[in-house]
Amino acid sequence: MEIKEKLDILSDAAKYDVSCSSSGSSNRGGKNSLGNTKASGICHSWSDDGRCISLLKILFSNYCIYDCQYCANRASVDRKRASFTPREVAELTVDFYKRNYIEGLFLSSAVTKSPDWTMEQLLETASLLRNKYNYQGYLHLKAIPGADFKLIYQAGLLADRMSVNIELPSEKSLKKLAPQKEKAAILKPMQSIGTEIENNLIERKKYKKQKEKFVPAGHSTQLIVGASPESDRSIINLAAGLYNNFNLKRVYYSAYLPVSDSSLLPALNSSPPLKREHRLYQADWLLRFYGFQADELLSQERENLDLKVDPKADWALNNLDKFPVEVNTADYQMLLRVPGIGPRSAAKIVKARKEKKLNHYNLKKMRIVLKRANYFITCAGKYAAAVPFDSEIIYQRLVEKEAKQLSLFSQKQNK
Amino acid sequence: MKKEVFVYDGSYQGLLTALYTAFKRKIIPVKIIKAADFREDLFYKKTIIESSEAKADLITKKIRENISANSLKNVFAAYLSELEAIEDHIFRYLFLGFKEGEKIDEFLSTTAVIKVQEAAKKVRRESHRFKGLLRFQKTQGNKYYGAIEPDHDILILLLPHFKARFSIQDWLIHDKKREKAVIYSAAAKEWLLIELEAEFEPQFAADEAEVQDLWQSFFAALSIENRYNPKLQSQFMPKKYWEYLIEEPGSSRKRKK
Repeated sequence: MEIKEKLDILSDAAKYDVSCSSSGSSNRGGKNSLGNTKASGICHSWSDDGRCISLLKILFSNYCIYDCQYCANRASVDRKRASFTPREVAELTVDFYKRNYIEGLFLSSAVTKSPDWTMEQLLETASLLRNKYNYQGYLHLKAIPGADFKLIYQAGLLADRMSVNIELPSEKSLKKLAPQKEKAAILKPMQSIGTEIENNLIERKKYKKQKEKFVPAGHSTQLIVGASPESDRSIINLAAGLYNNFNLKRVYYSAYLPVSDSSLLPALNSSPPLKREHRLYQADWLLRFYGFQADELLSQERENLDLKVDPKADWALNNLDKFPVEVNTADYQMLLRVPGIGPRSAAKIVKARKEKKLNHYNLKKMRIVLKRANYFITCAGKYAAAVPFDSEIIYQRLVEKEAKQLSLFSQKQNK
Repeated sequence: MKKEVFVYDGSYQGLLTALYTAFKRKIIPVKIIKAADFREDLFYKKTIIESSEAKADLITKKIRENISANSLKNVFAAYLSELEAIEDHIFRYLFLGFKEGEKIDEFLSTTAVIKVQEAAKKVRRESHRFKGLLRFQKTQGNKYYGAIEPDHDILILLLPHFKARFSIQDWLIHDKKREKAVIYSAAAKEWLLIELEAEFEPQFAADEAEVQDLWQSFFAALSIENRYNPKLQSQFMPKKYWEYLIEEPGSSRKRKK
């Protein structure tokens, strides 16, 4: 089979993996090697669905021994199959990299023959790239659940990032939809990678960086939203647990795209829950960058996020007694909790108010967007939203604004 | 006495010399303008600024010591923006800066500070964008050629990035709009800024078309049909940057199933 056809099949098969991050790993690469990595990450293009393309994202192979119901590459489905060789992947990566098409490689694979065999192929590809082609660009490798951890560890010494997909939010759904996979088998390599990353950091400190880096950009995971019945609350709690216990860098959420007519799954003509996915990302952000706890966002009485307003506004409206916040006196943490104010704006405010007392005009001039924040702040004692301070009314206004803004993210049904 | 307009040669050194002159003579010029943009008029006195390395160095040092290194970076980036009247904002920014010191960058509601910071931000954003959007093509003789037409004069900001990344290959980045280019030689590990006319086209390597074809098919295959969203795509990647891309936005719909 020609390389072009393989690329077509195996990039098509890899596109459902969400991660495209190329950040977090810096200082790789030197004067005599090809490429380097940047702490901030770089997007090289955007595909027709508006997603950033930063990595050559491909499967090594889509011949799979498993038959997970939600997966487009499951064994029982009739579709074109292909496998690369390690050399082909390495050459493709280098050719693309040298032309500045990509920031690096994201190599995943279906489980072909056995987990060990598959992991060996990924390892060999990584080793070719790093050792033969002198390639020091970004490298994200999938750790194959069930493979010998020695192989995964070796791969981790060559990769910038690794990930194990948790796939479904609960053991029960996993049993139903992916009977050949076990939650324990997925969590074990995740846990081991997390532990090794920590050990590596400690050892590198002790031996003054003599030791090789292990997965310097951290590890991540992905789970599918909407293929199984779990609530947002259990997903958010799971994510929070992963961040806290497994030292995880990112959890990615992927709205389920119907790929199968299995009676266990949403029907083929149903549309992917993109809005829900968007809300989960927002909530995830609140956990990681805004100092929120999972139980502040949802509770037993409220199992799912409001699709009409974002989770931060939702929280603010449920805690209206903490508002309005005076921008001239509120501390940074509280400013962060104001809907419409992010880390950048909050930092700007804290900086600028040292110089003088801020009014609405000042904020506007500082390019701080007040469209949403206005309902929740006072500037020098003044409340400038043109509506009464009432949660019902504010909610209605926010919903109207969201509806306009979100049209960008909504899917286009013009097939 | 007539108010003065400072006319400089358009170089960064020239601008610094003009700024130096204004502070030295303790006057506020009505305008600091590039010779190329200057139009004669009767109302103001025209003062031609002779670019001077010594004067430019001196004011550079003053800015770094009396304001901050960060502020100096802002001035340089704002200069590269080539936005209209940016020189006048830079002058006012420094005028205030010499009075207030490094906290000038916290004066976020002062017009000159906003203008300079925003111009600098635009330049940095565009240069960051091109770190991703620049496409090299392999030429005969194994050199890599990339063309751009940026809004701002960012060539000099791209240089350190590509030098670090592609230190073992020869490359050239061509700013077609400003008819100049930066050339890097892997053997010498050195770079050079040259003039290069917009029409320049190199001879491409024999296997170049093949790799481009692979990239195009990867680009088309990657998009998820149920999420098709060209509006979002062009929001992140405005159409003005499409000309020199190898991939074709929109091509996922033409792909053979």
